[in-house]
Amino acid sequence: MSEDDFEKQVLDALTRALEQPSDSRKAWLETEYADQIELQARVLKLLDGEESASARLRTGGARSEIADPVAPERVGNYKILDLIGQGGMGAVYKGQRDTGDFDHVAAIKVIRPGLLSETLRERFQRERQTLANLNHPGIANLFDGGTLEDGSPYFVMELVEGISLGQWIEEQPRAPETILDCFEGICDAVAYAHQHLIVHRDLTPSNVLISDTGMKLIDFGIAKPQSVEDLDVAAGSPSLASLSFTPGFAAPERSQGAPANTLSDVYSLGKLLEAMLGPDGVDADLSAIINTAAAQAPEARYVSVDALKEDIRKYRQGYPVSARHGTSLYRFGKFFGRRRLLLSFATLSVAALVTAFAVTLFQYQRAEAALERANARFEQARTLSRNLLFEAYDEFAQVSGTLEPRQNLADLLTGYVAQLAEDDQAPDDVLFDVGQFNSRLADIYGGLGMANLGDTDRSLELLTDANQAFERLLEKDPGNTAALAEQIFVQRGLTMQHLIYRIDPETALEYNQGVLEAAARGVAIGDENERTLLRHFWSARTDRLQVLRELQDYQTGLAEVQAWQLELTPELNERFGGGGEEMSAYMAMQEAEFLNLLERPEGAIAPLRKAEAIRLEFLETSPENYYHQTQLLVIYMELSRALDLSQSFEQAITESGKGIALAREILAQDPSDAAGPEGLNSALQNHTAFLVHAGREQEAIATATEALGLARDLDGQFPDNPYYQQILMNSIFNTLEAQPETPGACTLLDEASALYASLNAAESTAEGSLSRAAERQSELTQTLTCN
Amino acid sequence: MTLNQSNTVDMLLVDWRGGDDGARDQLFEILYSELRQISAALLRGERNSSLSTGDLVNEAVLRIVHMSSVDWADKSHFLALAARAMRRVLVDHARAKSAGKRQHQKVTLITKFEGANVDRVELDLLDKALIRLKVIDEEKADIVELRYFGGMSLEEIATVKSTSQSTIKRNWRAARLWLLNSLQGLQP
Repeated sequence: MSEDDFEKQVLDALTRALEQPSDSRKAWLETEYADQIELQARVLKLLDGEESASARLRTGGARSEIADPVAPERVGNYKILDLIGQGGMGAVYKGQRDTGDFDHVAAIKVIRPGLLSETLRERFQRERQTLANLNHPGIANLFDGGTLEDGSPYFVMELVEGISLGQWIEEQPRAPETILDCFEGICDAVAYAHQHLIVHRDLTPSNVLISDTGMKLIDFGIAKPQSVEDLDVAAGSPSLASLSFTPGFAAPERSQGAPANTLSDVYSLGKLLEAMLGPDGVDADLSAIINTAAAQAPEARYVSVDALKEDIRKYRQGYPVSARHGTSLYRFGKFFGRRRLLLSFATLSVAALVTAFAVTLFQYQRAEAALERANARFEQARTLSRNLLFEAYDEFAQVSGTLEPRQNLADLLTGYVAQLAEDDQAPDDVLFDVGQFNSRLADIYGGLGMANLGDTDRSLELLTDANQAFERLLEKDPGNTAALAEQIFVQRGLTMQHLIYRIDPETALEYNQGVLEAAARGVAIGDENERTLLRHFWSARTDRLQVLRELQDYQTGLAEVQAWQLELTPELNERFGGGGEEMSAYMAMQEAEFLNLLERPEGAIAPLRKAEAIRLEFLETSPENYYHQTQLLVIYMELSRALDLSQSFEQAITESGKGIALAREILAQDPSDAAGPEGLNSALQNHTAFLVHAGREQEAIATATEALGLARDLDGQFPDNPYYQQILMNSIFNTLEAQPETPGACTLLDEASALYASLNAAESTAEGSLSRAAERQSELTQTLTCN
Repeated sequence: MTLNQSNTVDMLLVDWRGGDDGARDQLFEILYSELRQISAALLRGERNSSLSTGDLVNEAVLRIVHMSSVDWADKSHFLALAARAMRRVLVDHARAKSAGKRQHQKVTLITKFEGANVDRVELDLLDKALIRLKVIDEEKADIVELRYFGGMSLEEIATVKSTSQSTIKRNWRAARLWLLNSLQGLQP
């Protein structure tokens, strides 16, 4: 059979196959042409092209394939001089400004009409502004843009007279130093774009121009809407996504439909470096750098362009590159995610697990309600904000040695927000953004209960700025409950920061009072934000309890928490939209804590049992819920303390034992989470005291020894960290109190005394947090009578 | 177009219907020259570029024949002839252009619009593939010519081919897949 005859059969089979529903064509072919394997394969191959066929060969489409775009006479303020080049997307002209104000020649790109859907065009209009803000010597400037009368979008860009990087490489051999200079220039430009929340998406040798004055990055791929990317992924069709980048330079995950992000640019940079150096110019270090940048798995790459550049710099200076010698770049993971719940307390409190978990509640409420909304807004506001401000930033935060880039990023964003805020005539939604951005930045600098830059003063300032922005907005529009809710959220932050960072409960109480009043006012408006405001109102009450405890006004705290619990009716729970149970459990525990503090432990038992029942019920449905587990742990510790105070030592030991079991469970779930050993250590230390009280000395010694071992591990894992030093010191005291005659007791006491001295001298240690330690130290010194 | 020429076209049309192939060839030449004029001006960018290929063909036909005096079936056949003329005009143009393009290499700035369709079809190559298709399956090749180069509707093509619209549509889809596949093999 001739080839033509075969093709004739193929076409017949293809035509018939097209009559079948698309999902049954394969099966149909296999039955119909059972003995013609070759024909089956050929027809299936042809059917593969269906998706793009209608777009490529359209009815009457022939002419548009060759039509030169009509050169407009003028575009915006520019007169068109020459055609510079053209491609599938449209044409690029040389244009001269002819408005008489100043002389300027620019490159003007006109996109063919009809190429962009309505959505893409809107997107283009929005993002043009963002691109126009990029002002860097390594990036071709975007001056202006708009739409011609016939609907063709256009850009006015810096005219770069030069050749492409591809040509530059081919033109003649270049010295490695020259190549690396050029590459660093590219990295700078890309890093700058990332700082401005722009991803290039298509870094290839043809998108870098080399002119006499240096390199310039062109062609930012700006106009693919997130929704299109989502669709690609949802439909499981990589083909659409794979059309939009250059194979070989695009990160592998992108062909799976993953959206472009800063890490996909890092990959392309690695490939670019490889292409620039050629096969001969690469030694082991450079090869390691390329392989790290262009690693298949995004999490194995450099976390940022800065990190890549840093390695190039090290290489050029002859230092070991981290791609080959270090592992610190790649420390990601759950570990940090959880740790940051507690991290910021490192320098703040004694082994006050109770306080730590109380702040966990604050964090929990944020995460539940407000933070989610704040994040959503950010997502709308800037394509990459999530990536840079949240994920990328948080990833940075988990890697040691990234303090500087993080600081830079935060400073840059702060500057940006400050600019926004300067506009007195700013429309309401800008003020809203200013408030929210400042609030997020405040978290970055010194957010409570999360990893932060440790600049708590700056954080407080930013919260104050955010508060003012909302204040201005609310002056103009007092009924804006969305703004009110945001402001309340910010003021809660101010309350907690004054309480915990500034140890200024008086000011905290003032803010809290304001929040309670504002929230009550907002709830009374009764619009769609009522539920949010109601939740804020109750959250503010939990803040108040903490403030009162800090003020040692236990009586007021107890009276209020008892009264509030009566308000927590099923009807209120309905208005909450659920979560009333959670609040009941929390309030009951607070009540018990005040009772213990007032040395009325008998009354504390009932509320603690109630809280325990609620938590156990939560854990019934989600047994591994970290938050409920830690809350239950605190309940057992409080319960055993109450029983111990009531002289029911054996019962105290039983309840404390439950706490220990739970702490072991939490630890087993994620051994890399440092909160696990911390919780267990704390539970064991408590347990030791109860065993001593019950006269069960041997068990007390064993328990204290285990606690000390955990503390030593933690201290070894996080050396020179004051928080773990405090835990270690307390664990030593605990051991010595359980068994003063322990061998090496004097050495241990020396060690604890040295820790005490160094902690006492450290500026970061909060005032008063060591008073109990001082007592224990002097008591032990007297008991042990060491020299 | 003078009145005289217009009369000539009307007469040629009558002769063609009578089965005179010479009349058809003369009509084709007239159409070709007319289309070349229209599209040359257009391709140089002197006129509104939003006109589709179908608009152009229709315009050319209207300029040389009084359509009101031609019945529906004749009109369709005449359009088909115009589509063939259009194919030649466009392929000629594409060849001339690609010859000129190789002379100088320029840095082409293209700002990427992801999601937009940027793959162009090389008409020159498509023409070659179409010639081969005509050998294998003439019917399908004709349909591509009418639809892609002539911009004709399914209804018009169905009239020319005296078959159902659904058959035309199926053949068009199959031919399209086959051609695009061939183009991959022909890519320079």
